[in-house]
Amino acid sequence: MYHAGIDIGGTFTDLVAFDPDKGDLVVEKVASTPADPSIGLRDGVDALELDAAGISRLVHGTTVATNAVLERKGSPCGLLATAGFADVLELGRRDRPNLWGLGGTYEPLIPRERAIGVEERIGPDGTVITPLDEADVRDAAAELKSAGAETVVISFLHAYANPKHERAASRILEEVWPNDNVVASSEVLPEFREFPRASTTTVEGYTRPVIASYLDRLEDRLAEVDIDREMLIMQSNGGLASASVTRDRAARTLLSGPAGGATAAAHVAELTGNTNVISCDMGGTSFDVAILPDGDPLMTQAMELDFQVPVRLPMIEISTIGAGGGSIARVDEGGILRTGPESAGADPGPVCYGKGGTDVTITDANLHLRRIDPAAPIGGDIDLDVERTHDAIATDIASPLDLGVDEAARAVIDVGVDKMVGQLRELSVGRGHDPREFTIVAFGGAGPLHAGELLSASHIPRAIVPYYPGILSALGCVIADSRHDLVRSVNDELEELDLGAYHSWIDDLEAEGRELLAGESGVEEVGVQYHSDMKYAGQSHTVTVPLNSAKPDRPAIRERFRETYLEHYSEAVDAPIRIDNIQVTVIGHREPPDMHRFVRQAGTLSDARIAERSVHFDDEWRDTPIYDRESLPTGTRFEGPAIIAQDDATTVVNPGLSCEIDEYGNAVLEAEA
Amino acid sequence: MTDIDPVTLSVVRGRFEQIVSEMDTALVRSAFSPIIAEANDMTNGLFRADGRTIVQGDLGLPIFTGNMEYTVDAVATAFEGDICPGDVFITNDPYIGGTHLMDIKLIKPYFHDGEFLTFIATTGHWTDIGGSVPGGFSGETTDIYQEGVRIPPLKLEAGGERNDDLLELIFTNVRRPGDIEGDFKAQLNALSVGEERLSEFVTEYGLETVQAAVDDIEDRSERQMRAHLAEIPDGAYDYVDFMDNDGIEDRPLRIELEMTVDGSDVHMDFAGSAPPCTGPLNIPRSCTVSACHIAFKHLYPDIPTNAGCFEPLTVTVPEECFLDARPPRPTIGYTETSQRVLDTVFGALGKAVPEQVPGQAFSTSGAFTLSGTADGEDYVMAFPVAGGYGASASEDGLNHCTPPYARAQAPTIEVLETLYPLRFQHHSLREDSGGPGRNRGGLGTSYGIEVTADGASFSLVGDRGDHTPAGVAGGGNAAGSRYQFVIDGEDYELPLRTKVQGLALSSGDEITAKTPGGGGHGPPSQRDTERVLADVKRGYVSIHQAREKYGVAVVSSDDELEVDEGQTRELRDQN
Repeated sequence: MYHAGIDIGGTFTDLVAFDPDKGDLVVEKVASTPADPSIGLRDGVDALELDAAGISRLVHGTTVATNAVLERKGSPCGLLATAGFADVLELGRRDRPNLWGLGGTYEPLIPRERAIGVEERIGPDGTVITPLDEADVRDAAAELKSAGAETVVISFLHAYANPKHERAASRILEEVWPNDNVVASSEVLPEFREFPRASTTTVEGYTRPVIASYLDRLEDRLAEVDIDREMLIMQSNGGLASASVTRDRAARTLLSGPAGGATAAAHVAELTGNTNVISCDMGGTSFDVAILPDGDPLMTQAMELDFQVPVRLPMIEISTIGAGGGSIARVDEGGILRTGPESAGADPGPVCYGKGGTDVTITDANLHLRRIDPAAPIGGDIDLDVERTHDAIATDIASPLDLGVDEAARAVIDVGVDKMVGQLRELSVGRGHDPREFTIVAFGGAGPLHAGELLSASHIPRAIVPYYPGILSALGCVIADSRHDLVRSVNDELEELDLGAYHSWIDDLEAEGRELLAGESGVEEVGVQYHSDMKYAGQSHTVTVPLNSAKPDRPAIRERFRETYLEHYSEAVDAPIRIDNIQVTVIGHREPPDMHRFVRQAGTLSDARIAERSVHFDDEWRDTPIYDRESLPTGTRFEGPAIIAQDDATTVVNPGLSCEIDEYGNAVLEAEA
Repeated sequence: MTDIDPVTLSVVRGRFEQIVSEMDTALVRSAFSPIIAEANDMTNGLFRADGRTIVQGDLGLPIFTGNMEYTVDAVATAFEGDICPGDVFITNDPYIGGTHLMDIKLIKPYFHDGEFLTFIATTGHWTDIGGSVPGGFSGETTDIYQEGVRIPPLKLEAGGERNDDLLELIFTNVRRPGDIEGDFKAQLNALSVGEERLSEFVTEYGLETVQAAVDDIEDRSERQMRAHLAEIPDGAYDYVDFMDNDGIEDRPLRIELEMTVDGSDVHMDFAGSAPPCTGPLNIPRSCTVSACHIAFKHLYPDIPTNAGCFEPLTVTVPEECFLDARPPRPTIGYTETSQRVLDTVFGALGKAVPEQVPGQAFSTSGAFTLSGTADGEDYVMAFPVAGGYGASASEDGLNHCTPPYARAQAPTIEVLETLYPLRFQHHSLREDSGGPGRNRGGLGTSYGIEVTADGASFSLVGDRGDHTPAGVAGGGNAAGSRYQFVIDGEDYELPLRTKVQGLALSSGDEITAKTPGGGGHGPPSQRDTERVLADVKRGYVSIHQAREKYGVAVVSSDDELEVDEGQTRELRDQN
């Protein structure tokens, strides 16, 4: 029985199917169908050519929710707020988009015409100050209905402290809209600070119907190829949830796509004994980085999805910068070269595609230096225009910088790589991690091309290019465990906290998480983690403190906080300790596929050598052997310069690096001692 | 120009930006006062020996950059020959390059292998620094002594040894010393992060390369700025604006600017501006200069911020002027005056290059403090307001923004209600407050607050009540500030409209603050009628204003709002 993992990207839909019993692995890549991604998915599943009955589990990473927000194509929502506070989204956090410059625009996800206040008021301690005016709610419902709202978001002040009014309003609204289309802030994010809570709840309401109709279409499409298995969906936290659970937790899928890659990187790290890993996914437009100290991805509680669209939910901390193959290089008025963040995208694309692109990109620079084979581009049958690329680099980069064309192409890559290294440094050194103790896992279409460059510039000693670097996110779907994160507001000083109540909240959250897991197939073992966000009383921001049990006593909590605080800051403070919340994570472990199965070759290195070409490194053109990835034998070791070719990625082994093929088929690049 | 390769230059510049950004994060996340932790009223930067800016973090207040330059220079001069590894200097002296006493600067020299490279500096707004009013924001101080403890440049740490006596003296003279000490430690956290990162960086690239790159980066910023300035037509452009009053005497304070553009040089002369004032609206000369710099930097955001950007700009402030505060003039209201200087520069530029310049922003911090005792504990809440930005040739102005000289965000209502004895009644956009124009100015904000404990004291330093944000290229003015109170059931407004000290409030009393929008761009009669209709539907513009200012008749038909084309033609033809 196969487990199938599916990742839908902007250009390609990647599929991996794995049979744990037979050890068989099937990989497929088909064109994405952005207008309706479910078509690409169906075609991909069809192309796997597996017997429908032979597929036992389908796991899917999707960017449908993110795209709905970024392109403002979500469900038309209405907002029900406390009277006097219906502008919560309009007001945002009173910020401008950039430090410098006063321009820019801001469109809240819900327009002001559909934001209505109703009489009710709850105080910070949960006391009802003004009872909910139910007639107001009914009037608002009628108004929102006639204004075309398909979903209603309820966000009342201090609802985290007392959800009574939100629940009562929900019941009334559910007479007008289907239950799933009424979303209350106290369910989605029961934490204080009205704007991030309202924003997160709005993102949930805005994406929920989009996700639901997408899942409906998926089920229909799969039925067309006779598959009726329930899907599991990759969530932003790197864990899976069943499609039915995801339907009312849509905002938890925002990082569904990149989370799959980070999860697979974690697995690669574990297999290869590299405990500290940085996962680097470089595609056409972006460079997504996640850091995994001790093999687990670093989590964050918040991200800014768009200007003034914060989302506060647990997710893998994936830091994205505009540095991909398509990133545009330009010389600014001060004579300084910049690479990215603008991207030529797939259309018009880099200059070399000859589709009308005139801006020099990182891909163009790689082509000019012949790190990319002009005769066999990734993505198939296009003729790369070498001459046009040369001319564009000469005119736009080399001439203003007074450099030779080769040097200019190098500079384009160097400046792009430096931005990526800056990102790596911020996540490693910037968080107190020593880069020399880390290993890069490089994947995505452009990751393996730059892995070697990243090593030289970042002091990270080792990079692993997995056997299938182009489909790693899909592989992550097959590997991932189920995971449910639950949170509850505490807001009390440690010394005054009712410890018994604290422990019982932990128990309740754990029970809730276990219930979500029930009914998800393939879970073999359940693990639970406990954390609290804590701070010194008087501070605004918290540190997330890992608790080592479900029933920690006061001294243990105190000590864990102090340790964690001093990991972040140099100065301890003499002040009472405050607990903002309690977080419980319930993980359903699954048996991962045996990655040994990837390795099929036992030939020799010279068998794998399929060509040679002149490639530019440092200051010179060097004769460079080209190896075929699938023919490289296990255990073989060779030195750069070399290039490893495969269908969906090109791996560059720079001079000064060695490359070894390990037992899992990974190419391991290391700086030579 | 040195011969550093362009790649190294890019790397050095990027690395500097990253170092200060990490300092910003460390300070904000470990600070105690909401004004730093939630509102980002702080900055971090690296400065050369003579104070020139190498780089500033992008989370904090732009106005602090220029001011830090003067402060660092003053410290370097005061301690010439006595600046050693492990030293940390402290000062909040407004007159040597400052703002107001609440902004505390810590400055640490960074040495690499014994050789001085740069000053690492951090500014943080402490919620209290002593003085007559908790939280500092009084509209009625008449000298610096009433505003709190003034700390001249002093060595807080010498060779790594902290002077605890000095700290104790400071903390003894401020309200809520526990929180203040927390903020102080947060600033130390930022300095540690800066020092560690610099050390790694310089070790990797070598001192000589880094120093040469700093010179080169500065030259390049200057060239970029000059390229922009050369595009402005040569000539003299003047502009006059006013502060409502100084908080003591009810008469406007004049700011007069003559800006001369000559090739790629710009000179700004403030001759004709008002003399020093009795109330707290004076600003130090450094603050005037910084505000001028900020205006140009907002106009040309693409240039990396360092001292080179400002090389082509010169500023003259006359002797005996409220834009050149001397001891012991009070300066707590720098938050207002510096913004009007910025507005004045925008105003003059609006005459030179109207297509590039937005209408004036709301440009008032309207900072108020509410203080007293609740549940046996002293509380001090400092709250800055938001407002609208001016429209540009291409876009409507942003609603409800942080002031242009700052980037302070607002603590959320739920945080404020948890910490202080008050209850918000509303928090909303202010209808009709945006300046009318082909592109409309952004909307200001309306705040309604009920006090819930007796014995509260309210102080305010605001402005833009009488002289409202102007439009550009035919765009109209925005609505001005308005503060209204209900005290003991009676309506009350401040005699000086926007400034007061120690207004006594009790439980049940109400404060309403309405903030200005931004000025419009282009004649309102040219605004597309559909955009006017959309503004009416959205509640940004009233049916009345649509008619009076835009000449658009919006009528209701079958419960739907629509434009009456005939009436609109008539209204617009009359213009």
